[in-house]
Amino acid sequence: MEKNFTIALAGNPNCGKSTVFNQLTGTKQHVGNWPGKTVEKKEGSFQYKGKQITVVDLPGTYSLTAYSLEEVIARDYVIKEKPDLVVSIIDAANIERNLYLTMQLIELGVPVIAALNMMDVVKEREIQIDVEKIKKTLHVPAVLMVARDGEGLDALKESILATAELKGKYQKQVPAQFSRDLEVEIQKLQKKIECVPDGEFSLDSRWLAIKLLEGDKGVLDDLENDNRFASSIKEAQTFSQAYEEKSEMGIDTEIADAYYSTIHEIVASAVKKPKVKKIGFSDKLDRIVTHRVLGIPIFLGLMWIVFKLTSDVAAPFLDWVDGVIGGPITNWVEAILNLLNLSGTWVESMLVDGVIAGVGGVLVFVPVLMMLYLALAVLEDSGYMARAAFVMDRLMHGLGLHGKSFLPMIVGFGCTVPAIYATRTLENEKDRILTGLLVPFMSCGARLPVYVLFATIFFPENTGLVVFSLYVIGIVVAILVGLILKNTVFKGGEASPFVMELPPYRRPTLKSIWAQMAERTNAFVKKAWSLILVTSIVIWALLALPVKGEGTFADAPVGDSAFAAVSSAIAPAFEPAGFGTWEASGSLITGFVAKEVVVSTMSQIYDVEEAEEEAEATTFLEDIWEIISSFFAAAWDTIKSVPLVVGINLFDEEDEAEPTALMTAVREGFEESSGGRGALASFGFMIFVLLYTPCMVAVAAAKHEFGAKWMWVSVIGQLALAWIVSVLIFQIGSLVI
Amino acid sequence: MMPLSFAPEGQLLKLVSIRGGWRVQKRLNALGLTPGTEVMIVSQNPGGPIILAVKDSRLAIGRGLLHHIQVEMDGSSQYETEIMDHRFSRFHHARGRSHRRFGDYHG
Repeated sequence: MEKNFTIALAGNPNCGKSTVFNQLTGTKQHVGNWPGKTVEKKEGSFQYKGKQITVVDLPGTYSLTAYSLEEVIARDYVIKEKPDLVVSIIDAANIERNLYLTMQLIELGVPVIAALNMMDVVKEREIQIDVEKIKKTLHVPAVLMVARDGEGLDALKESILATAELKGKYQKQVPAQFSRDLEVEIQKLQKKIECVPDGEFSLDSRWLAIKLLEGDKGVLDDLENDNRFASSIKEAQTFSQAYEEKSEMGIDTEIADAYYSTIHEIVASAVKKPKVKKIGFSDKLDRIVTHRVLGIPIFLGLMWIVFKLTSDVAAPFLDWVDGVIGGPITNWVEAILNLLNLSGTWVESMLVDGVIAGVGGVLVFVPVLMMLYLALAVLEDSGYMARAAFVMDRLMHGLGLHGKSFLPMIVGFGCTVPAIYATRTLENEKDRILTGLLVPFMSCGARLPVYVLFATIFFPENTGLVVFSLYVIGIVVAILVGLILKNTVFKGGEASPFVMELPPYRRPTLKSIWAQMAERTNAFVKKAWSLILVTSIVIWALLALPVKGEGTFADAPVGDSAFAAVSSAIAPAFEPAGFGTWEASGSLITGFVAKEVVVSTMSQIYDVEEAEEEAEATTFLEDIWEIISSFFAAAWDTIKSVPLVVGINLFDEEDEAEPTALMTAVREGFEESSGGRGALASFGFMIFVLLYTPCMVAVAAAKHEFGAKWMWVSVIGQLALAWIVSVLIFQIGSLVI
Repeated sequence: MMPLSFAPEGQLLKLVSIRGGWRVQKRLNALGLTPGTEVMIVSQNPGGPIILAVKDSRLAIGRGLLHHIQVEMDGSSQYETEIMDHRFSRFHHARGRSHRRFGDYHG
């Protein structure tokens, strides 16, 4: 049988690693998370000369110390999973800094190929690189690439195969030179480690010796309970203490320094740069974009465009998806069920009201997410994202957040779901989770209809002001919660210092943007559908199940359903907030499915007659035609909405006048439950809708991104917070009024 | 010798030392900042982070970190400082003016 290989790609952020990965594997990719981590793991494969080669994309890192989660993941993968080789992708235009990681990979004892990428930029900057010298001094094979254009790809594949097949004969040769004292000690420790009796033991002994001398936390933690290394660890500690007292530098700085000196020598001999450091186009653009006066307006302008893309521009497609699912697809399912003689049974009800409604609820988010990912891909690939963090850092810093946290917050005003996915641009896990917990307080678009309905009923004079105040309250709550979390749960540990690379500006390529859009949207649909489907069916079942009266399963008035019973059981909890009716609590439950459903549930529950739309019978072909033509209509609407991107259009959407019957019913219900303080109770209710658990799609997204634990923190924490705030409002308000 | 927070813009500087915890050291090392490295402030915002040219990359560094990084003016540079100065001079003037404006506002 042919032997297959597994290789890993390593490289700095922005070195073009994912481009190389995409070029190598094409569509044969699998995107998931590293086990138990919130860091994305990409795996793919390709065939070359009859061999199947699996490619693992390691997280982008600058080094392999245990500094960040990404670095730990990358290092552990190489140490523990032992790929046949690692391709070290190097931004050749920034070769000196990039080689640092390459050196560390070589030190790790794994076969390394140096892939010098971005040779086009190198040429542009009139830099000359002698690749033969690089090979000779680093003792590894090297290839030149322009990954964007697929240049050098075949050479890389060839080199991968050749190196992988030689694996057994690989001899580590480290180019770095340390001071004599240090080198002697390294070799001494190395011998000692090699004497450790164990067949399983397979770390590179020199690497381990260096790590012990550096006092590397990750390595020490791993070896903590291993008696065989106790004496080596002790010796290393004694030596490094003595060494640090003698010289001014710590041993780890000394080692980093030795790597860089070696790199400097290599670069000095193999790379020729024009003498003058040029202030390039990027620097000039940066002076405008990161300008202390212009920076923030430019940033806000771009964020406004992102927000509009995920709301207004995506809206026609959202309606289209909604229409296709609610119209033709539902009709087809009904028609099939009719053929099977299941029409009018609970099966039909479950499929149409549970399954299709639930799956539809997921698919509706696809256009929104694609727009978000389009915007994110452009911002990231062009290099602007790093500048945005730079510009916003001061403001966000006070909240204990990273400058990059601002983008998810803005997107959150459109929809919480893409906002949660937008946290992925944050490098640090802590920042990511904290931002993810705060994002739901940005009032999303779906909550607006609820505010508008209640504000129109109870505050007809000041509708706009009330709605606006809710947005502001959301922001204030986010700031307060952020400050509290920062000083409690997320306290401790050294705060990650704000330092990040600003990659040079580049023109994003269509191919790369499309790849990111497709891949990320796909990941959402795959992950989210199961949780959402289950939730939809549970709520459907509760609505369908009669617990009193004469209705049968799936054909009972809402008031007789298990749903009403559950709502009534919960209702007393809301008495202190002034809306302790089952109608109110019931609509909040369905609000978990999607916030805008609160309004439709109310009209259902208060039994307001809605004019039934009598659907005309259509043929299959007519349906297909309708789907296609409405798609183009949506596309046209989108194009028309592009100018809207610059216009402010938040409160004009008080659209169709709600049926007055519903408004009267709601008013009476709230006045009664609150003892005549309907306006106050309704304000509390709006605050509750603002603050409580986001919709199930957002919850599924949070689980996908941050794991089950943080999902529950978010779900329960927000529920508790919403209850406390709305009760406080009603109680304190009652005293005042 | 001075902390990076007081260093002038557009001048070649040589990094002398980095103070601070293990994580800060490691992080800055990995990004190419070790003693002896030549750096240059490309732009700065009062109170905000700066953009620093390190090797062939640009780093954004927060104010809090700047005090930890000691630098000195670099006379014996491998680059042609004169040309650099010339390139930056126009920008410098603009900056000086706005600093005064900033001061007036406070005064």
